[in-house]
Amino acid sequence: MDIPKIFESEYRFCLIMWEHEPVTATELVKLCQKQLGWKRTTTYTVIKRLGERGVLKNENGTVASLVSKDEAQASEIDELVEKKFEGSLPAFVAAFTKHQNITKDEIDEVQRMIDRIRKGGSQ
Amino acid sequence: MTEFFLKIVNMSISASWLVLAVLFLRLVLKKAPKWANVLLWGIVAVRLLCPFSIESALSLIPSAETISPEIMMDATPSIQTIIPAINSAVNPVISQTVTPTPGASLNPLQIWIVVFAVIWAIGIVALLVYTAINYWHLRRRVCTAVILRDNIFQSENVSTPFVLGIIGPKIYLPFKIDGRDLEHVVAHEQAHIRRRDHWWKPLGFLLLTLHWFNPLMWLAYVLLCRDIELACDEEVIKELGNEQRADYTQALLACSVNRRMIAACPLAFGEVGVKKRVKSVMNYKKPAFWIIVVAVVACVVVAVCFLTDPPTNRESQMKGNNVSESGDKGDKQNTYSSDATEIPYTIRISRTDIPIFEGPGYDYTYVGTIQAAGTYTIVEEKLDYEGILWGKLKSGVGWIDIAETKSEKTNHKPITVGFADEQLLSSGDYHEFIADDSEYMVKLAFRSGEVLKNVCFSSLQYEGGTYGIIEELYTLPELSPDMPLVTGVVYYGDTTTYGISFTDGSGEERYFAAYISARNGALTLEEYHP
Repeated sequence: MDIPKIFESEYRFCLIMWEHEPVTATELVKLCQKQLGWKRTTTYTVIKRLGERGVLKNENGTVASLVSKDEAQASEIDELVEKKFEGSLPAFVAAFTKHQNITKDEIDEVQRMIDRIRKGGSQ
Repeated sequence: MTEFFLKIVNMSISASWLVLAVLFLRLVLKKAPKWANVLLWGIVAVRLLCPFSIESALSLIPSAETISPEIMMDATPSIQTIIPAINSAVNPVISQTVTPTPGASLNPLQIWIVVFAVIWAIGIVALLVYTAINYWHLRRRVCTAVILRDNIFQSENVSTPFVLGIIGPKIYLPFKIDGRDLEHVVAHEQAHIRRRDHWWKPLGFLLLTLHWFNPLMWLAYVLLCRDIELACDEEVIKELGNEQRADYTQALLACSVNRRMIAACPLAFGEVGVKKRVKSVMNYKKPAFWIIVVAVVACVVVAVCFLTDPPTNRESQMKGNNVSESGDKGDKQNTYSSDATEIPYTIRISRTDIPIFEGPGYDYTYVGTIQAAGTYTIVEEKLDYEGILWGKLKSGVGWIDIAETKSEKTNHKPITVGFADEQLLSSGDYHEFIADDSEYMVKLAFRSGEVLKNVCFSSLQYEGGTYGIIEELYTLPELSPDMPLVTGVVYYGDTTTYGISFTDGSGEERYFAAYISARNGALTLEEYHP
């Protein structure tokens, strides 16, 4: 599925939306003003733009997402792996582990995730 | 508008001398702190802003009024720059191309100047529109910027950090910026805000729009932007150690942008001369105290020498020296008076129909008519482009044609006309007839030089080379010199004519037309034969 593109500042907005949804547009305006420093008109413009792109829906002043946070994040990773790692996920993970310091707990968690995928069959 | 345009041009020329001096000083004071440069540009701005100036003998400005507004009225137009070489090169060209032909009512130089003024105005509008559009686009691009802290925002649409906004300026940064770079950049932009650069740059640009025709001003603006950035760099790094300075240059390189933007806003971090700035930062040494003193003294000297105008008698001395290239001393400038009379002098006026104009020439606006004979004082004389000598009345009302005044012609005119003045109207010693009582009514006063009989006031129409009576409006059996006839009429456009006819002292029937001249608004009496 083609996830619509979300720009960085719009992404920050989506984080707020995902955290509070379903939420009225007016409430979003207040939250964006506080956390992002956005004017009222800016928030409405972004809601409209994202609505047109299919990221969220605005029904009678209530905003709910059409793309979930997981989906958006996955899409970003896909794009990153595609563009910068020639489509090779292992290459990405390798680069990742080389660069960051992973704690033992994080390694265990990743291991559990891999096991779950194996058990669930190929997806 | 033309007068304002000429004022701006003169201001531009005198400011140009200042810009040249500043350019020279910048080269000489390379070791000086950069805020001195910005201060010098501030002096240029003051020169461009203040329309008036104090006169001082210390002024280094060659001439405050290179192009006199009277150039449009001169018989031999010329400009006065200090350099005789320029004068002798330019003035013959001017006189050959734009000398007005005597007798013609339109001076070609007037037309040219009006054309230039219009082009200048269009240029200003174009620049302002361009800037407004730029600014609006930029605001739109950063409206979704996300707040970081205080007045610092980040946006994916920002490629190089900048400050935007004149009131309540905000700092805009890209998202992808290193933590260390971020601190340096923020320090730099905050220095801009502290130094109020977000006011000076747009102000400078505004002045530039007024003087867009002057290439020196563009150079001045570009250098101003550079100096502003360098001054901010200095302010930030003077507290930093060597290693931090290296980090600062890292930030500069990371955020540098190739595009050259000449604009009023924003103040972009990586906009101007990154290479030079890196060099300056790395080589920065705190300037010695004496250099600072020298810089301040230089600024003061520049201010005194260039913010003041040369004293006007020096200007007229120069005008006197810059005679035509034949070098003939007898060849006087047409602004000088004739040898014979010394100003001020008195003149006896016996005619009652001498018209007064706002300036020395029949092209100027008609002010009124001298209706009372007597002795008047002339305080100034001028020759116009037709070769007529004009004298300025002491009362300040206006100028009169000296030769015409001295000639005795009217003593043979049986009647004169002028607009009725307060003195006459308040005395009540006149006959009155109101032809047209509307808000545009004017009152004409007909004064006779002798007793006239069968006086008839009528409306006239110009046809077949002479006038014909449309309608007889008012008749008076007798008109004597001590009691004029005042008629209230309306002049619809400049083809309306009124007439007065009578039998004069010698028994002859005379006909006169009273009309408003299309050239200067003067009320004129003309005899005709029906």
